[in-house]
Amino acid sequence: MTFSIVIRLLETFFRRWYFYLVPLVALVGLGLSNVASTPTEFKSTGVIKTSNASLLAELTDVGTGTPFSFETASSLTSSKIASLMGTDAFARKVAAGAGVTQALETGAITLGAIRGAIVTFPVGDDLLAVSATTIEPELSRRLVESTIKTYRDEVIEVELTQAQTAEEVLEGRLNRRKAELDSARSELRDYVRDHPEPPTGSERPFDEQTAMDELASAVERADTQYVETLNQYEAAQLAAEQTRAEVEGRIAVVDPPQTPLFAEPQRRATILKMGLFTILGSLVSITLVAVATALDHTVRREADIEAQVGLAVVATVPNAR
Amino acid sequence: MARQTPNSEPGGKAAKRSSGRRNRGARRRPATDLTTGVRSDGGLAIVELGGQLLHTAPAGVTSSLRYLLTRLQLNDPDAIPRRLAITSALHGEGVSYIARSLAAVMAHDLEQMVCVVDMNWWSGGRNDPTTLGMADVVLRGHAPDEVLVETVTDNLWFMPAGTVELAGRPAVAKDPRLASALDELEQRFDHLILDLPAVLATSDAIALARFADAYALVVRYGVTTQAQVTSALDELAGMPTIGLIVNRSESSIPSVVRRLLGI
Repeated sequence: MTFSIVIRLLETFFRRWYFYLVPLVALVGLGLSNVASTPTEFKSTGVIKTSNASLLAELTDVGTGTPFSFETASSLTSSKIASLMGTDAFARKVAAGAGVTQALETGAITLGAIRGAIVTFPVGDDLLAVSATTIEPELSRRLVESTIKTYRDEVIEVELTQAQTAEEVLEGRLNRRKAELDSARSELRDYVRDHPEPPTGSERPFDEQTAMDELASAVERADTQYVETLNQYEAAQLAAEQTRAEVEGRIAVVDPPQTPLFAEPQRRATILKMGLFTILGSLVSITLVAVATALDHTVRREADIEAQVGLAVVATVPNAR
Repeated sequence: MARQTPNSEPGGKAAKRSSGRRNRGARRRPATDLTTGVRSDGGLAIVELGGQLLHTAPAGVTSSLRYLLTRLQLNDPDAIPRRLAITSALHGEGVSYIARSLAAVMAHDLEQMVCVVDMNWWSGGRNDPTTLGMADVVLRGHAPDEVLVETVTDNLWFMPAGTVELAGRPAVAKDPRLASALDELEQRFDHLILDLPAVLATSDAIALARFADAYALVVRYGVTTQAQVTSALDELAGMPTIGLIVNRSESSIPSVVRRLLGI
C-alpha cells in the first residue's frame, strides 16, 4: 500500500517535474536573495558576575552556603533579564541608556528590534553573557552596557525600597526634631535676653532661676531627641548605601562590552536560512505532488486497477507509437 | 550559382546530408516488409494485398499481446474466444489499435484464420464513405466477400466498418442480419476480433458486445479513471471477459529510479 503510494507520487512528480520544482526553485531563490540582502552585523558581548552573595562575601567565604538547586544564579538572572526585556518600560530604559530614544520616537528603530538584538545566556554557574547584535558596532556595545546598567539599577531600586522608606520617615522626623530644638533654644535665648543676669553679688530670683532651668532642660531634651533621630537617619542612609554596594558587588561586570571591530561571520546564519527556505520549498513541492496525486484517479498501476475492479490486467501495452 | 540538389549532384554535400537523414530515419522507424507484414524490429503490420499499409504494431506492442495470448492459453490451448470483442469505456483509448495488433499477432503466431471486424461506426473520421464494410453487408445486402479486405498475411483478413447514418446505428446493432453476417464469418475464420465502440459513449456497444463470446476492456494509461472503468464493467456485467488491457502504458519514472525501486 505504502509502496503503491510512493510509486504514484513518483509518477506524478516525474510526469511534470519542472512544474513541481517551481516552488522549490522559487523559495531557494528567495532564500538566496534574502541572504544577499542581509546586512552585516556586529556583536558586542559583556560578561557579568551574578551571585546571591557579594564578591567580598564569596572571597571571604561568608554566606555562600546556598541550598542545592537546578537553577543557577546566572540562569535565574538570564530569565529575569529576558522577562524584563518583555516589558516596554524596561526596554525603553535600555533604549534610553543606549541613546536611541530619538530613533525610537521617530520609528527608525523599534522596541521589538531592540528586544531581538539583545541576548543573554549563562556561561557558567554565576557568569552571564549579555550580547547585542546590530548593524552598528557602537550601538551594539551601548546596548549591552545599557542592559547591564538598567538591570542593576532595577535590582537596586527593588532592594532599596525598604531602606529608602525608612530614610524618608526619619528625614521627616529629623526635621521636626530640629524645629523643636530650634524652638527650645529660641525660647531660652529670649528668656535670658528678657531677664538679664543680676549684678555681681546678687542672685536671680528663685522663680526666674526655676523658669530658666526648665527652659534649659527643654533644650537639652530636644537636643537629645534630635541627636537620636539624626543617628537613626544616618543609620538608614548607611543601610541604603550598604545595599547599593552589596547589589553592585553581587552584579559585577567581569568583562565590559567592547566595540566590535569585525562583523559577525554569516556562514551559520546563511546555512540556516538556506536550509529553512529549502525545506519550505520542498514542503510546498511535496504538497503539490501529493495533491495532484490525490486528485488523479486515472489508471496508473495494474495492481491498483485490479484491486479496484477485481479483474485481471491481461496485457499492458507500452506506448510504443 | 545554381542551387545544389541531391538529384543534380548525387555525390554532393546535400546528397550526403539527405542520405544521412534517411539513415537516421531508418534507425528511428523500423522498415516494414510489405510482402509479409513483418517489421524489421520484430513487430508486425497489416498490409493490404495492394500494398497499402493498414496498421503497424511495434515489437513492444506485439510482445505484450503475445504475453496475453500465452496467459490465455496457459491451461487451455483453445481458451482464446472465437469471437473476441475489444471495447473500452471512452473514445480514443486505442480499441482499434489493440484489436488490429492482436489480430496481427494471432494470425502470425497461431497460424489460424483471423479476421478483424470493425463495428465501430462511431469512428466517423476513420471510416471512408467510399469503402464498403460491415454496414453494407447488413443494410445493403452486400456479400461479406465483397467487403472483406485481404492482406499480405494469408490468414489475416480485415472487414471495415462502412458507414451508417447516426440515427440508424442503434438499429444496425440489433439487426439480425448482423448476427447472420457474423455467423457466416465465423464459418470461415477461426477467430473474429470485433472492434467495438466505447461502452460509456453509446449504449449500442453493449448490444454489439453480445455478439462476442468474451470481451476485453481497453483502458488507456493515465487517461481513463478507475470510476469510468468500473462504470463500463457494470454496463457489461454478466458477459464473459478475458480481462483488462492497459494501453499506452508509459512510466514517467526514470529507468534509474525504477531500477533502484525494483519496479
